[in-house]
Parts: sequence; C-alpha cells; structure tokens
Amino acid sequence: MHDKDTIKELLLNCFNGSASVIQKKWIDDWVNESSANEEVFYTYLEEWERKNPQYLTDTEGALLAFRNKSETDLPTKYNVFSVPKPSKWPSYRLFLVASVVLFGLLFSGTFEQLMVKTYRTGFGELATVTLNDGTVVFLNANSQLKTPRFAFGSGVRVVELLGEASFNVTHDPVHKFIIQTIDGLDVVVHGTEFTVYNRRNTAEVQLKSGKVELIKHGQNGIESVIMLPGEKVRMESGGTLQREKVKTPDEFASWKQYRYVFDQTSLSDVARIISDNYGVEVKIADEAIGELTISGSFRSEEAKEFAKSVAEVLGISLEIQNKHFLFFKSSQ
Amino acid sequence: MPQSKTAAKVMRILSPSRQNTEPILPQKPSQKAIQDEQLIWHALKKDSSKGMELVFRRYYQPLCSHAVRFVGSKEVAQDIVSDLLAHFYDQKLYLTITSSIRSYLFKAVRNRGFNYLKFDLARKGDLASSPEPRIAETYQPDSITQYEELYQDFEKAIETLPSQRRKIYLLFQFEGKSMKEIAMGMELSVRTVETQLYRSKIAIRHLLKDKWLIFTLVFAHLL
Repeated sequence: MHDKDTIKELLLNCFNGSASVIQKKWIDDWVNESSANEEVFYTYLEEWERKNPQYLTDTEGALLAFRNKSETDLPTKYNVFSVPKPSKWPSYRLFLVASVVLFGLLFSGTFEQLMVKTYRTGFGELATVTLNDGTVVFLNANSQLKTPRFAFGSGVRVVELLGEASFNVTHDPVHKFIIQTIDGLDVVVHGTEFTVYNRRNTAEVQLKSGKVELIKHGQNGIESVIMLPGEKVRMESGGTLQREKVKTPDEFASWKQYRYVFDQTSLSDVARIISDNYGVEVKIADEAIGELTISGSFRSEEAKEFAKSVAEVLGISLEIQNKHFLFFKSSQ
Repeated sequence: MPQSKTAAKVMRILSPSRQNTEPILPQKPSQKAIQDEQLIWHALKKDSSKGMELVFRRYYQPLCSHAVRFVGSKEVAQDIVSDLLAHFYDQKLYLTITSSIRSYLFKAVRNRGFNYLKFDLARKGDLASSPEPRIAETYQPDSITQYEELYQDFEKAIETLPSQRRKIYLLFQFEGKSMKEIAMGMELSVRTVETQLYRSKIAIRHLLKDKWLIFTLVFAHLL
C-alpha cells in the first residue's frame, strides 16, 4: 500500500502541514511500529529542514564558540585520563611541588587567622561576646580578645586579652579557663566574675565573685597568687604583684553601661581612661591641675560629653580640637 | 502486508549495527545520510573533538532551523541547539544512545523547543484575563506528528496577526531586534511597539492554549 516514495511524500506533506488527520494518524502508527521507521522519519525531517531552512545559521561561529568552551572545560579531564609523555613528567611534578609549597606557605600564613577568632572593639564601642563554652565576655572600648575559632580543645580554655574586659566564666572544674595578658601574667579562673585590665604595660585584675588564680611567669620562676572576691591585683610591667582591697565593689566593671565611677581619682588618671576608651589625645596643661581629684559617677558614650562634665566639676577649662583634648586652668 | 515488508527492508538498511553491506534500495539521500552518520559515529569514537566538528557541520543548520519553528527566535534556537550539542558531547551520549545520532538530536531538539515554547508563553501571558479552569496536567505530545502540529499551529498563529503586528513580532522575536530599534525603523513610538508585542503574545497564546497549553496556567500560577 505504501512504498518508499509514498512514505516520503506523506512525511513531507506532514512536515509542510498539508497532511490530513488520518494520514498523521497513519504516520504515528508507522513510526511506532519500529525504530527503523523512526529513523526514516528523522532522515526525511532532516532532509526537509535542509531544503526549507528557516534561516541560515553561522555554523562556523557556533563551532568556534563550542571549541572555546570545551577547551576551557576539558584540560583537567584530559590530564587525568591521558597517559603523560615522559618528557612532560618533570614539569608536571615541578608544578605539583610548587603548588604544594605555595599552598603550604599560604596556609601557614593564614593558619593563625584560621584557628583564632579575634574580637576587637573600636574607640567608644562596647561588645559582648559569648564563647562556645557559655562564658560571657564584656569587652570595653579599644580592646581585643583572641579565642580559638572552633571550640576549646580538650585541655585548658585559653584566651588572650589586650585592653579591658569583664568575664563571666562558665564553671568547669576539668577545663581551666586561662586569660593570657602581657608579660606572662596568666589569670586562671575557677568559675567567676571578674575584670581584667591590660593596657599600657599594666595588668589589673578585679574579682567580683568566685576564685581566681594569677600566675606570673617571671625570670625568677613562677609566682602564684590566689585572689579573693572584692580584691584587686595590679601588676606594672616587670614589676611585682600588688594586692589591694577595692573600695567600691558594687561599681565593678561599671563601664559595661558606659558608666565611669571615680573615687578620689586624679585628673591624670581620668585623662588616661578617656584616652584609652575613646581614642582621643588628652593633655593636661599644667601639673597642678593633674593632681586634682574627682569623685562620682559619670555616664557617657562620647568623649566630648565626658570630658566636658569632668571639666565642669573640677572648674577648669577644656579646649577641643578634633581628637586633641586639653585641660587647662580657667583664666578667671 | 507489503507495508511491513518495506519496513523490514528499511530496517535492514538502518540496522543499528551500522555494518550494512547489502545492496541498498534506490534511496539516494538516505543512503548518503547513513554513510555520513556512520562516518560521524566512528569519528566521535576515535577523536570526540574532531567528531563534534562533523556533527556541527552536518546538524547545526537543520537543527537550528527546526528549533526556530518552535521558539520563533534565532538566538533562542541557537542557544537550545548549542546547549544540546554541548550536553551530547560532555555526557558522551554518542556512546550510549541506541538510535542514530540524527534521531537523538532531532528528538531532543523538538522536546527542548516544545518546553521552551510552553514556558515562554506561560511566562509572558496575561493571567488575569484567563478564567480557564486550572488543570494540573502536563501536556506532552504523545505522538510524533503532534510536534509537527505544534509548530504548524504556532506558525498559523503568527500568520493570523495583523501585518504590522506580525512584522514587529518577527523583528523582535526572530531577528532579536530591540524595541527601540524597531520603533526607530518603523517610525513608531517605543510604547506602541511594546503594546503590539504584548498583543501578539496574547493572541498567539490564545490560539495555542486550548490545544497545547492547558497546563501552563497551573505552571504559571505556581510561579
């Protein structure tokens, strides 16, 4: 009923859209009959499409684009599968060695950055850091705390502090919590609340509750001091540990609320605090007023405001130029 | 049944083993096609990169030409075909397909073309004015000639557009001209071109949806 030419005619009619519904049905059945028929169908489809192109393509351009794409994609695959020529081995090896060395160098440089997480506060900025053992650290302005990035190891918990911070350490009798400060003064904690101050070669530890052990690694060996609540221990660079009783334990780490409590504190000390916490340069014009003392509590998030109220209380004048503060005797 | 007899003969010619040495019926084009097909197949096995060059030279033009019937855009057609060929090459499909390369490529390009058309019309159609019930059914042509019907219907739909609108539609879709270029060339405002394009889309979609795009409503709705 259908010879080859008829089939071809039928298919071309179908492609052109002039085949009847019944003819299409017949083609469907015929294609389903065998895969060979399907092949014939697509052969004629290709032929028809060749004779009736909708538009002319840029085959060379497409081929070029394809080449470029596969060239950038393939080299890795080829290196894996192809058998390398002997002459190519040294360069390959050299490349491998070079890349390993380079990687090692890069890694060792960034190793500390990878393993240690650093929290840093700017001037006039406070921060609360919760470590992964549950310990809460309040960082005062202009301070830096280094902690292990991935949990504490199985041994002791060690952090490094520069600046000032208050710690609320989660109790863990097995894993000691140690804060390393300058000049080999370690603060060993046994579940407590305390402040560590570590600026300008001076370390100061103030304990609110619990027990803290200070270990000093000096030239004469190790010196250890056990602190009691309400005590303050101070160590100047290279000096000895000085123990003193805190007069106002309630004012423990008042800076956490941007509050500063002074009790007979000299203006030079206040100037140092302002300078440390807000990153401004504070000068006192004449030594006499540096001896003036101040008592009371100030709350301020800003250096200017703070310095102004100090000046007002002491009855002295203040001159501010950008980040340079100058206290001087009033002319009146 | 002489019909099946013919089929058997054809089958012998096109047997998948491609080791056919029998005398071939006087079917010049298909004979040549078979030889080409064999050549390409061997080339791909030997050096896939060289083989792909043959595939491109032989099939890129007809495949693009076929694809454009479904998608109505040169660029899209070329993208579809290039994508298809890259896939064919990357996955080394020439080693696994059971049909001929031609069958595989044409079948795939028709499928991709159809999928693009339904996606495109669903994406750009106006849903607010389509109160049709949403039937959760993916309509995929289930017989080979339905693809023919689809692109013929698509072409008819374009033919029914008023001449200016059709011209704009073809310039935009097929030639890939920007609305601004069309507006400049035809001395119309960009806004007019935009409106005409929108109306073309709606008209085409309207003509195709009953037969082909029932599901697109669901599809678009889900998006």
